[in-house]
Amino acid sequence: MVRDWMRTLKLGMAAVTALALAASAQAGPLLASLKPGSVNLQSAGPITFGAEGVLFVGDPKAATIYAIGTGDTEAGKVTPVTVDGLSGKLAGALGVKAADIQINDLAVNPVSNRVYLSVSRGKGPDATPVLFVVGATGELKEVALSNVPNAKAELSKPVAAGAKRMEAITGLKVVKDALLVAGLSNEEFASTLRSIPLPFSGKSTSAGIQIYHGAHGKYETAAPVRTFTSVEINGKEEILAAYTCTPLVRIPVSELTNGAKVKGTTIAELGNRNRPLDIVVYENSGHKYALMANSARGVMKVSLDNLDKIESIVAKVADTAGTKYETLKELNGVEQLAKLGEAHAVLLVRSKDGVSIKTINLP
Amino acid sequence: MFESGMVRLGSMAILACPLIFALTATCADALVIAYAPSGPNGTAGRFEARGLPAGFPGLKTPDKSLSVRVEAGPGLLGTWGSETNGTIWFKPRFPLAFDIRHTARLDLGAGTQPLTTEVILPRPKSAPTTVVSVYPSGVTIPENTLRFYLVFSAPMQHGQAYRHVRLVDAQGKAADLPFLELDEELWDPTGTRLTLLVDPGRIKRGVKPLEDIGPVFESGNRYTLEIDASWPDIHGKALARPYRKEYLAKPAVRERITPAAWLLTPPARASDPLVVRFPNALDKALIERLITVADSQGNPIAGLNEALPGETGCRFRPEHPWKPGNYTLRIGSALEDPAGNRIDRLFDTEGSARASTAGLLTRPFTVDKAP
Repeated sequence: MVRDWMRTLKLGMAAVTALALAASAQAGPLLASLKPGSVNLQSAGPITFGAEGVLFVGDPKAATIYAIGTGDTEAGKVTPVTVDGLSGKLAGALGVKAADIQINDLAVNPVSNRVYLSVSRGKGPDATPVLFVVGATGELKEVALSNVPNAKAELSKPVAAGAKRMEAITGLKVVKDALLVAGLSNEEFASTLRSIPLPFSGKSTSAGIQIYHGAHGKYETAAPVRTFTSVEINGKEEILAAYTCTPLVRIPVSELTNGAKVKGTTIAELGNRNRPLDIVVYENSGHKYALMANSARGVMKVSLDNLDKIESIVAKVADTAGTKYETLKELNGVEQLAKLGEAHAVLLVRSKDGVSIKTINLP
Repeated sequence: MFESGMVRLGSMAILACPLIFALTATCADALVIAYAPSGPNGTAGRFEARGLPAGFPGLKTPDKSLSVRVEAGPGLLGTWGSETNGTIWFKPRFPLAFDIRHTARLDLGAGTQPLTTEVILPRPKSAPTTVVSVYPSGVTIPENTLRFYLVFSAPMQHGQAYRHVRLVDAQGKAADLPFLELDEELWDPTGTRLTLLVDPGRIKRGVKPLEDIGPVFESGNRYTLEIDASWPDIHGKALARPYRKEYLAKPAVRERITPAAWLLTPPARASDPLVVRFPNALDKALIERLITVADSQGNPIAGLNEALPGETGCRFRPEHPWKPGNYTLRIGSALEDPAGNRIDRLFDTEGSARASTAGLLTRPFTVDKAP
């Protein structure tokens, strides 16, 4: 008789595997494409959701993206999520000190409105990846990875023994019928944005999209995308990407085909000594906005109205320029953002007391 | 009652049975709660409560009776089981971490004090980690240098690189945010090599950080890359000693890599290496990964390609002695110099100029019959 801790927790969620497999009988194309089996993550980086409770997990060490049927497919209400002392709770469950916990990303399942976390147990090359889902009262439950519907897409050929090249996955997002993956190599300075068609076909996708940005018109450089999201402008899907040196850039999704060379239109310069961390887009009272977390410049609310009319920034500007934005002074230490329903955002916040999850109304 | 104390591996708490189970029918053995180590360094073991009488409710619901905690928290993840000999067990989901107190607790029902034991697995001793080398390894670097590699003797802890690396000028002043601080630090799979990128915004011409704050390096000035010893390795231990490497900044390199200008010295004897010299230093990792050798049929030659000191050349040593014949040195198009310039384009380029690499990615050479 073996009782699994996971199965004994009452989360109002049926046994993940059984539900997912049962659902696959009448599932949509994405879920139906997944095959039951075990997902052996080597590392867990960014995560994002597709339709039907399918969670995409970036595994930079294996240079692979996994699609995992969580079985979390029942519609759920939007309930504000608050978890204080998150690192301590994760450390307790994983049997390490809080300092040895790394929270890599947070995502909301848009069907159930549950929050998922990508976590590393340990901070070295042997760190163990673990995924968690946050329950209704803030309890943490490990996401099952054995005998779950899954598929994978390899970003490059399997890593040869002794190879030193690795690619950090800096962003992951489902846009229309593709999964976009932004990466940065630890060797060559190539910005690789990949567009992987959904469902996964099983083929590796080594051809990247070369992203450039024109700096004030004259020079052009390959630029690593730090974080990105998608936004509809005049009925056309566009990528809103923040680069490592903080220009905010729009790129039409239709141009993002593998092997293409794409130049983004700079719509804002968000200032120096700053790194963009995460970005979400939303609507409030008929206006479009992006909410953007930054390393040094707090959380910015950026107007996306009339984005198509903003000229590309081509001249040197005093400090920041382009579309209008305001900094939300009440939000400090925000490292990750995810939209919860249409009117809320879930934040991963770091303070002197540790890391916590908070929910805000979208401003 | 039993007093638990801090104990080491293999510890156990023992309680005389009748004290607790006055209501149970039989009680042959003393009740024991202990950690049974297994696996490497004893970390993959399980916690056991042995000697439970037949009627003990925890035999049916061990997860309700036996728990293990470290610090605060809900209790470790893991699986529980029971055996017919009066044992219940808890197997943690992950190997036990070193140097942290695990408190195992057996609940014996309302009104009875639980039985506990504590386990700390001491970390095995290891030699202190050191900085082995920093690349570029030369004494001069172009002022538009984009990339450094820091190589350690053992795996390091991730997530705190930027707290432990400084770039100091000749006056001893540390540069303000010289590096691109990525949450996803760029380590190799072994965790022993870190790629440190200089903030590209302070190299690219025409972008705000460079225009407003200025470049990180200026030609003619001296800089020291400092790594402090408090950077913890994978075992949480500080480095053996701090590390310093001095550089003299030279004018920016804004030229494409031109393999046609490389000097090839073919092996004179079957056991000699092929030696290639470049006019400027190239990137250490990319030299060793992207410069390869093929035979006249285009088959790759197995061997080891090592960058020469200063990364101004490389030495290719084949696994098997050379056979006389024609060979090709192959150069991957992603090869870069330390400033990010490539064969087909500069790191920052005016307009969208991009040259063809046709004919630039190979250099033929011949191995003659040994004299």
